[in-house]
Amino acid sequence: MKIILSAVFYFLLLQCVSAQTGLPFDVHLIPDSLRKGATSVYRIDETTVDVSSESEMKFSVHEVITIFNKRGLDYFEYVTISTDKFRKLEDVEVKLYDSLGRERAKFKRKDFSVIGSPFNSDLVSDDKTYALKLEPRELPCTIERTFTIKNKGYIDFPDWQAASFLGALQSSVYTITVPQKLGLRYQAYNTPIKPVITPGGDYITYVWTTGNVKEVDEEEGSFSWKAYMPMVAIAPNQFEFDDRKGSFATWKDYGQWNYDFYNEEKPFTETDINNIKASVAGFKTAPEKISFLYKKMQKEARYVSIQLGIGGLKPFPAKFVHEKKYGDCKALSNYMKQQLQVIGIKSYPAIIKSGSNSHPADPLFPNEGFDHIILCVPLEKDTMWLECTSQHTQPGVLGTFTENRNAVLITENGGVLVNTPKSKSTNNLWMARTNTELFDDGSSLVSSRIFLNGEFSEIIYALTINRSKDEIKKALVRYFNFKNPDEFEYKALGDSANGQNISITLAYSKFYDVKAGSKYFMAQKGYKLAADEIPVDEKRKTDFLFSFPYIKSDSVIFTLPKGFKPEPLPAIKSISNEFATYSNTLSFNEAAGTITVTTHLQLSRHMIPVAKYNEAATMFEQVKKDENQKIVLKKE
Amino acid sequence: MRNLLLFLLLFICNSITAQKGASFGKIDKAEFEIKECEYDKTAAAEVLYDYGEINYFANAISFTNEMIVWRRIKIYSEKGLEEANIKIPFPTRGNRVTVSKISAYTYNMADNGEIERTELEKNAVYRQKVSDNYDEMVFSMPKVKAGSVFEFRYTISRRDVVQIDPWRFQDDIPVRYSKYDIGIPSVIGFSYRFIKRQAIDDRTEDGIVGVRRKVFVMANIPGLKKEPYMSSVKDYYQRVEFQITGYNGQPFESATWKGFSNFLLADEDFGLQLKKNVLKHLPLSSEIKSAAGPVDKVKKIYKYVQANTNWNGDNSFWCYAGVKDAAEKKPANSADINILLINLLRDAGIKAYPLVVSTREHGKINTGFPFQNQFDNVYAYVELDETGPLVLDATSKHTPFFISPWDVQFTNGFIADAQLPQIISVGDVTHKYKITTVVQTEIGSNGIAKGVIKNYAGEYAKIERLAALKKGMEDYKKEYFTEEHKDFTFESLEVTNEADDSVGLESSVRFKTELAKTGDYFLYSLNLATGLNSNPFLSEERNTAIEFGYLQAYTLTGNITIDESLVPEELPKNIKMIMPDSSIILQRILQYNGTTIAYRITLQINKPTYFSDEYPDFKEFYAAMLEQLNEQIVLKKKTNPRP
Repeated sequence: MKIILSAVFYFLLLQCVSAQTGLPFDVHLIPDSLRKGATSVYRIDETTVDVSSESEMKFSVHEVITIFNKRGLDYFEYVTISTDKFRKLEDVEVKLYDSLGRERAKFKRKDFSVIGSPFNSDLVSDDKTYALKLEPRELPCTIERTFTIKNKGYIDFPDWQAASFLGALQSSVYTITVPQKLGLRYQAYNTPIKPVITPGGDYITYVWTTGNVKEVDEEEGSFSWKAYMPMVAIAPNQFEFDDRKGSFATWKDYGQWNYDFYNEEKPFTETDINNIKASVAGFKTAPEKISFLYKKMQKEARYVSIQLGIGGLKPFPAKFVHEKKYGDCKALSNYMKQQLQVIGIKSYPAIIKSGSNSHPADPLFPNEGFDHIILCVPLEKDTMWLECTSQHTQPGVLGTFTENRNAVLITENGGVLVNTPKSKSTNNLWMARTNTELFDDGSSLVSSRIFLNGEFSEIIYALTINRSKDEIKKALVRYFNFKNPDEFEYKALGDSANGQNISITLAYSKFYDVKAGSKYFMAQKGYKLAADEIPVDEKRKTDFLFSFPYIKSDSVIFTLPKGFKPEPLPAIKSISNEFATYSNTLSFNEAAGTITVTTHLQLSRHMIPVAKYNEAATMFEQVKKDENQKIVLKKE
Repeated sequence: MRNLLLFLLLFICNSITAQKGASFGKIDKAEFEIKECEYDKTAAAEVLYDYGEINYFANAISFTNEMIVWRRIKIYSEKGLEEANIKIPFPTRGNRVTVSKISAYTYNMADNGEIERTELEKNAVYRQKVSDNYDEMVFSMPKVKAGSVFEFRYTISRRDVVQIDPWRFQDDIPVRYSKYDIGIPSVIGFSYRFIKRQAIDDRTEDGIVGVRRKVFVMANIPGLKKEPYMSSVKDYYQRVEFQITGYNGQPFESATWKGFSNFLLADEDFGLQLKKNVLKHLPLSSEIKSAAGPVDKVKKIYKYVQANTNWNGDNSFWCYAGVKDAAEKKPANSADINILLINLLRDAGIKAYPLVVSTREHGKINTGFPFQNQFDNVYAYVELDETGPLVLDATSKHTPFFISPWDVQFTNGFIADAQLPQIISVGDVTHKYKITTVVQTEIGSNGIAKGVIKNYAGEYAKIERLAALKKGMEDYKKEYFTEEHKDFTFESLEVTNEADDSVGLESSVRFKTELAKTGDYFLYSLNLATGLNSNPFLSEERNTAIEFGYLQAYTLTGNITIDESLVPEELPKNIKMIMPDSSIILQRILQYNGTTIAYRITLQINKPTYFSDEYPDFKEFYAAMLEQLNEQIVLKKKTNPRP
């Protein structure tokens, strides 16, 4: 009996041992509160920044991350470290642990592949990425990454993120040491955490700490994370990059540092100058001249990204673009600026963070966080903004890529933070008139003329330009969500003032959706105006952003075949709130044998504050329901 | 190799500029002014000339294979501008390959009506690193806009390389004239094969003594476009491929199928791995002994290898780590794992052979000649009296042993075997892509429909869904329910039968939706959770075959209980639709008994492949079929009977 008991005991003990090792990275040591529903858990997240001078900084990372699922593995299985001319990898070590915290593999620098710039669209760049793919045998597993990067020259310091979409933070520490005489600036967002500051001789150290932070769920249609995630931005007062000293104390200073990049003594030859002047001689007003030169550049020069050395910040000279007819955002903006200078119009390159619904920079806390350059041309009455990398946007139109935020103008007096234009619904119009002829065999001929401008025009442009008939058909049927037609014809009727007119003709052998006895059920129009996805969500935490505000107006006239009459038509509907208005009217003209459907949908504001989210979502649900109502025709 | 060198002579470069009157650096006005590509009218750009020329050069200690490439491109519209960014990748290991003599021009119409030529500046050519083993030369052509013509030429030289590069006549943009001119020393035997749908001019020209000169020309080749459910792009590019077959009159053994088999079986990274004794180190012997017959043995061994190896994601028919490492769960490629599987099956007394395959993504093989690079993987071929032959790939985690892997379905593979090497066709038609959906719905007087869906995904459908399930329950729900039915809410989704190979994957979910209302009518669609809601076949024309890779069977049955205040207006008709070649059959039966509508819809697609000439019929039928599937039931509010 005793023997049996001890055997059982021994067995239980073994079970215990195999269930938990007590090793530091055993996944069982993670508190359930962090683990529940998490993609991963950062057991250790340590960033250490050592600044030794205005131009030298060392940046070390030590992370231990336990990965629980495929999403986590997709993100963490590749260890990638980017370096370039100014950033060198000093040392690196990666370890892989199993779920019990036992070390399973260890990698050094020699195990990494070195690849060119794989994650961006540059044609040429001197970025080098160290990459390693981990192959854990099972999940969960834990990875430990340690590396140090030495920066020769810097503009900004790394920021600290006190929460993540990718994992819970069991412990996170950010330490930065700077020379007393240089100091630093910091600004906390969405967090009350304050640093512990320890002066020590010539240096001063700041430490931010947090722990037991749950993984944050990302919501669709939100601002970029900067708007609501807890973080601390940390920035230098002075810096030196590519042997050029600068200051980040104010936006003015930062603009000053950039100014020389765009200041050319003699960008063009005398002949070029005369040609540029002669080309605009026929125009009277500044906007006309600007539009002419802008459209000429759109036609002649193309976007090609080449980033070598300081080239990430400094444009190729105007001469380069003038001769080769290509360049990146900086080079094309600079080329445009230098040409405008020739004809006596002053313009300013503007440093900006690009992307749909990017969050604006903080006016009170200057730091880096930009990735794009556009051109700002202040005129007497209005300001013209030029997106120089696009080959088809209208002069003076920016679009969702750079609207609704701020940008640093680079002026002779330093940087000036200004707002870019707000998106306006009147800039994005969609106006359609459709004739739908119905025949008594159920077939139909639908012809629409649609005027589109702003973002709608961009979308149609992208879907149709240089595409085959078949591709256009597929793309437009999908975009408008047309019922699949038997025949389809698309025509671009040419550009009108600030927009384009298109015509779409569709033929159906069976237009109605359902036939029940002598009754035919058919849609009110070939597509739906309310196409945005905005589902009701009682738990929504962040503001919601549509891509852009718009006005859509649509009228359809159905011509009924002889002997057909509608059953009572859906009632007139009109809904409105502070964000949007919707109205839909159906009427039957018995004498003419026609039904007219007139619909108007205006989204006036593209940002919906979270408190109003469900109000907006409910409204769009009602609109969708109303649009889904069928017309019922009866054969007599 | 030393012998080979003796025979290699210094050949004089046969300048390609002499061909067809065109010369590098000069362009006719007529050629410049071409307005569109007549045989591919919507093209954004067109390759006017595409020339490749290969010559061999020898010196005392080594020889060099030198290829000159010359391309001239016309840009028709803005979208073609990306063609003007040129990248020439080349391997860096051993410093054997150099790219040199890069030269390029852009031509534009100047204001004076003359053609203006702009030369690519030497300092605008960059060399950059792509990966550990590759660098690339990169340049962007100057002054290119819609209407421009540009051309570039370079030489790529390779030391100690006998391989003859394949040549693609076709590209994503159309090619007007493509010529490949190769001079191969007569001592090197080679054969070649075409993949073509247009005429090729295949000439043997006089070369210098000791050189076999071949010239291949193709003209007016439309750009290759990608289409849904096409197999591999590689299948379709019109091209010529080469294989070295012998030297100095002595054929290489690997130039015959039998020779290829022997060559594989004698190699350390293939055949010799089959002979290594790994079983004794594994806890598998007792399992094999306890197996209830050969089928069970195969099942047990296959499952063991599936579960106890660590696939690194690479596919090859050459081993990388070796079967011993693979058995120890070290990262291993597909050959390591599948040859380990064959090795263990053989130890258990099962007839198992390596089957060298070309997966669907990699393209179809030519059965006439053993071109090695037409294969990309090795699977196990098992002969079992009880089941018939089986094809196994242990890297496919969700495929049960009795179903052929989807990625080699309806392709040919090669069995490497000393006695009976042979080409076989893989085609599993006993297992299908099976979806069975059972729906219980209740529709209330307010038009709220709710109920339960039970969905069974069998065989190939199960394999597909298990892979989706691995991404997590939320993604699975989105992919198979929420995405297709945006107006529905789905709750308490449960998925069962994941591990049991013998039954379908069962998903059970509760749903609720508010039916679309029009006046007194509500509309309800029967097409629920079938995955057949949208039509991928919208193109008017199609150039490639539709390859499903399996036969398909869908069954949709259900009961709809309707509130007594509602009554169906008129039910969709009972129908049976059959495709003219009988390969697709759709059947729908509905019954209404006063409170409940019962329905049963079946759809069978009994062909795995539809060729492009069958497309018009297929497309028309498919659209009509979806129309029927999507037909809605109309419910009407009863008028109150008079008292």
